[in-house]
Amino acid sequence: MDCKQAVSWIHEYMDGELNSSNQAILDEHLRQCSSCREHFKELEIVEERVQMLRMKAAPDLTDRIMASLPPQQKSRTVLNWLKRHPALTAAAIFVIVMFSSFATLWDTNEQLVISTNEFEKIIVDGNRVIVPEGQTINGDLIVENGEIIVEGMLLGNLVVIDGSYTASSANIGGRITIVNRMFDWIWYKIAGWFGTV
Amino acid sequence: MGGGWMDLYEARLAQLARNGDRVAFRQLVDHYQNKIYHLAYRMLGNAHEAEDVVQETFLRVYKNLMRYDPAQKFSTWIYRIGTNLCIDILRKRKRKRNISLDANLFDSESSDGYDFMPMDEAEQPENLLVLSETRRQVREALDMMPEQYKSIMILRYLHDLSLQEISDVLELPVTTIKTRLHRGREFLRSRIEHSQESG
Repeated sequence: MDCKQAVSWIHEYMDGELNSSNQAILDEHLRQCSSCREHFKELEIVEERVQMLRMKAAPDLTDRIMASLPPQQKSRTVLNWLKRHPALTAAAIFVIVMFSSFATLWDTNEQLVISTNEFEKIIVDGNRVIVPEGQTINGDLIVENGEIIVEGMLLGNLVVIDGSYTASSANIGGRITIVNRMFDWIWYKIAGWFGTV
Repeated sequence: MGGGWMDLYEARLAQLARNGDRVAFRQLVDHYQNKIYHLAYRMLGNAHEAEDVVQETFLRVYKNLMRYDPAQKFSTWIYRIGTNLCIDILRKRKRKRNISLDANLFDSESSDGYDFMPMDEAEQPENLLVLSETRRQVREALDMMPEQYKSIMILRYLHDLSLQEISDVLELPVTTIKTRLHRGREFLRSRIEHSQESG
């Protein structure tokens, strides 16, 4: 083989991409050709020298990085949503005033309400709604006036209305929506009419 | 860069972070801040700019989590953001010094640009002239290379990325990566003194 080809193969070899039979051919050439042998050794030194620049010490920038992140929203209540859409605040007040009869209904209703497609998989204990370990609920789980405990998996959305939940976000595949107070309830019902929560 | 399971774990952390889980995001910061720091330090030559790049990289990751595709490796994505930030900074430096982008930086005569780069001496104390000479030589040679060649050398030799990974990070074909890696090695070979010559 000629030296130009050999040098090209040396680079292929250094990339780890030269097959074993070509390695043998290259090795034979290098045994016989001192200038290519020299060239190869110099390239090996290049690799060694670049690797020498590896550093160990680095400053711990974690706190600085975490502090620089934009602030987080805690739960998606209607008040947060309204802050981002100020033009709609007037409309929201109108709705509340006009639909205040809903509010009185809401006040007296403290019954536990559970909505799920897979009722057989959950356990109800007093006002506690439990998705046991090992169970997977495919679909949404909506609970009013209850305490939800997800020990298994929920592959849909979780909607907690005037209640609480205990679950790691790792167990819940969809979104977690917390609805409390009168305004949120009205919004939740309205949003339900439009098909989004 | 970690086996397949590490990639899955990091993709899952990114998904959790996307849903607002700051603890998960912090884990990603722990995994990658050193790597991005070393990448930026080697590309830019000083600690101050390297720290800025680390912070900006994670800020961009955080703001763009919605766009992260879990099918892609998280490492590829964050390396791409960090590398591109460094490349942009290096290009701005060049423009400030009015060096033509077409100048062949492999030409040994046009190495003046190097003198204006904000380099840290911190890596090796100045008084250790002989002991630090070898590292200084290769560092200087590396800094003469155009950004795209330099980034490939750094990703390959200091971050152990495969050719395919480098191709994914820089969004260039593997054949281009190979050509530039080969040319980069040859350039460094020509700039580094070998034991026979320095006698």
